[in-house]
Amino acid sequence: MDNHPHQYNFSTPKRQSPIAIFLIIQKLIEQIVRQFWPILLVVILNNFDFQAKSSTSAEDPYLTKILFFVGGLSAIGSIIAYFKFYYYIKDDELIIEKGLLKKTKINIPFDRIQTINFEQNLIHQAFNVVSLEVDSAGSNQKEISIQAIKREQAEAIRSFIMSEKAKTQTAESEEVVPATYEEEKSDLLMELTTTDLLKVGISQNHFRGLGIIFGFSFWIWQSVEDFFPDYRPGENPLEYVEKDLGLGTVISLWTYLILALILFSILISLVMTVFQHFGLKFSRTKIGFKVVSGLFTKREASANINKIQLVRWEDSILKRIFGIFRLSLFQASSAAINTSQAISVPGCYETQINTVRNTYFPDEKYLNYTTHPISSLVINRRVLYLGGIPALIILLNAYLQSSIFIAAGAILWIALIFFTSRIYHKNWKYHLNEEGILTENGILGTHFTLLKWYKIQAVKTRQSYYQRKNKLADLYFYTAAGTVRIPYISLERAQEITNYVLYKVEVDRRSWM
Amino acid sequence: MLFENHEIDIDSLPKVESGEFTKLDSNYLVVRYIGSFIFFLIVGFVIIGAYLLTDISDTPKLFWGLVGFWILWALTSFILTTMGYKIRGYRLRDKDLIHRKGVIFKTVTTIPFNRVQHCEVSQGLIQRMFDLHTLQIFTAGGSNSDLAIPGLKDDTAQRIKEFIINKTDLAIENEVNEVIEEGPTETETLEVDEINTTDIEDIVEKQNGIIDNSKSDF
Repeated sequence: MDNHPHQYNFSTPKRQSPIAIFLIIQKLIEQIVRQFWPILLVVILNNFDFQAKSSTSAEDPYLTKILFFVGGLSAIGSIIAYFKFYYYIKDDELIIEKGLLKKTKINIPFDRIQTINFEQNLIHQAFNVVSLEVDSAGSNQKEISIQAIKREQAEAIRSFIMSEKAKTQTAESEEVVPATYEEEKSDLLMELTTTDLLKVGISQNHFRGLGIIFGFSFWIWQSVEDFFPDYRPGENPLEYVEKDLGLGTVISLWTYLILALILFSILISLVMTVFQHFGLKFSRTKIGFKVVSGLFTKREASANINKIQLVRWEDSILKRIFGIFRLSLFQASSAAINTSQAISVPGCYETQINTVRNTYFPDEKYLNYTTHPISSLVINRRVLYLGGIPALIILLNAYLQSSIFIAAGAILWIALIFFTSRIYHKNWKYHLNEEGILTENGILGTHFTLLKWYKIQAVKTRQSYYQRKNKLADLYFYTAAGTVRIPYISLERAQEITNYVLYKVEVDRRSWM
Repeated sequence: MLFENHEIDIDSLPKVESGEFTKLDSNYLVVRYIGSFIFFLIVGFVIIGAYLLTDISDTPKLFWGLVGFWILWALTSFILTTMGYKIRGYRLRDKDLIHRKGVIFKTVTTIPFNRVQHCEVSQGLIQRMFDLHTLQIFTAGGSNSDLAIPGLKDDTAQRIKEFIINKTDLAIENEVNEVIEEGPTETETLEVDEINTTDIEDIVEKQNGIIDNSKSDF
């Protein structure tokens, strides 16, 4: 097969692959379902209601007709949209023309294109097409995408645009940039194997899964109610079960329930992990990093090294057992300057973290960090606000219900907050060197944040009344992709760091992006 | 590449904490009072309207509670505004702008000029009566780090804005461009025109908020 990139003539206007019609319809249905799901639910329930409630059945054919009408209209609209959508390349610009009534022409000059990403969902994969997402540097222009084109063609367009872009760059600057854009030449840093995927799934935060279960069981409960005929509304369901089934059964029921809950939430996290991160590949490219992952929807995200402002990595108790971290690269978004994009890689080992650190902050290993703690007064404040206020509410409740158990709960709560706050204080550390800062905090897991001084946009100190009395301050570093905050350090230290950081930022001639 | 690594004496660095903050114009306090007054007047009217139109008058406890809350709120606002005025101020330095504000939470924010995205001078209705302006400074650091300095007399806001604009990275780059332009002027006019147009296009593009991303660190 002739693999010459110029076998495609980009200058003639082209339509997308016909698969795009399906994709447009799919997107429309998704949107309709998302916005009108209550109406849809009514329609569906009315159609399949066994008891055939007479009061609503009169409206039912009417609503169904509307549904079919809207559906048909959007299908026609999708086909028209497909035939009216053209893309082509002319004079170093990617041009998209679309629209029937309101004609739109979008020109994106190559030098404004930051990255071109591919995305594939199930339909895409079945027909070997991709959706092409163009991230442009226009400050208020939305991201542009071509719904479906053949994979080879998409790759040809990408390599053509990127090589043209590279050519103009070499003409402008003295730097040696290779004339051809070698996208595929990237070093694979890591690949999630099945065991890695399992580790990531198990060490996930399971509260999300628990939330889904609770939402689901609430829904189940409402429909199951009908099956317990002698259950009176408002009655404590546990009491109902107790009187119906006997106490011994209830206790074992509780144990089973809790066990099932734990198992289910782990299972949900696992399934979600597999969906999201299946076959994850994290690689180092010429311009930065790239992550490809997903079971049904293949996602490809890349981070340009210059655009990365912050690097974060975190572990948790479970993650620590497996020796894995979740890594996040926070980059300044070009599409909208104040919304940040982060690409995250779960299941990273220390070696990959070190590679990323080395790329983001090459000098880090030659510089010496000095380590500093935060003020222990932060414990008092946390106990007062996080412990005291809820405890007061609990105590009030205890007084109203005259229950000693609830009052004991308040004491327990304060004790819990006191101990976690002590750990919070003990674990909060920041490490400074000439070129950057590394912060380290967390109660159960540890979150690390690495920031180079010259990426900082603004510095702020903030003092509450209590902090002013104790000559303390919170210190904030604002970057184009997030904020780093150091709480409760001495005002003097905060000012010292501010002075130094300002000096570093103002003297530095490098571009932060 | 040239490697420079001078020893930095931390104590010799310019200090954020030393030096006097420039206060806002005294008329700004009046502006704030008028603004608050109008606001609480409207709230008062709403309470009176509620008294006349609804049956809140049947429950005098609720009504007087509302009035009490209204007075307390207005009083707190008055005290906070007055105290806030005393604290609020700015310091214009050669390479950055420092802004201090806040009664309950005192914040000191510093924006280096080489991180400024753009500046805006605006004027509210009440501010116009006293010829006062607000200077807004935007960075890429998000809305929390953007600055708004109100109560600037006459053309102070405009002058500070121009001062800052001339110190941004963009302005410095333009200076460099001008130096480059001077070079070829003596040789060939045609080429110079070409260079000029591309440069101007570049500058226009950059001023439209497009960030040049072509520079690579490695």
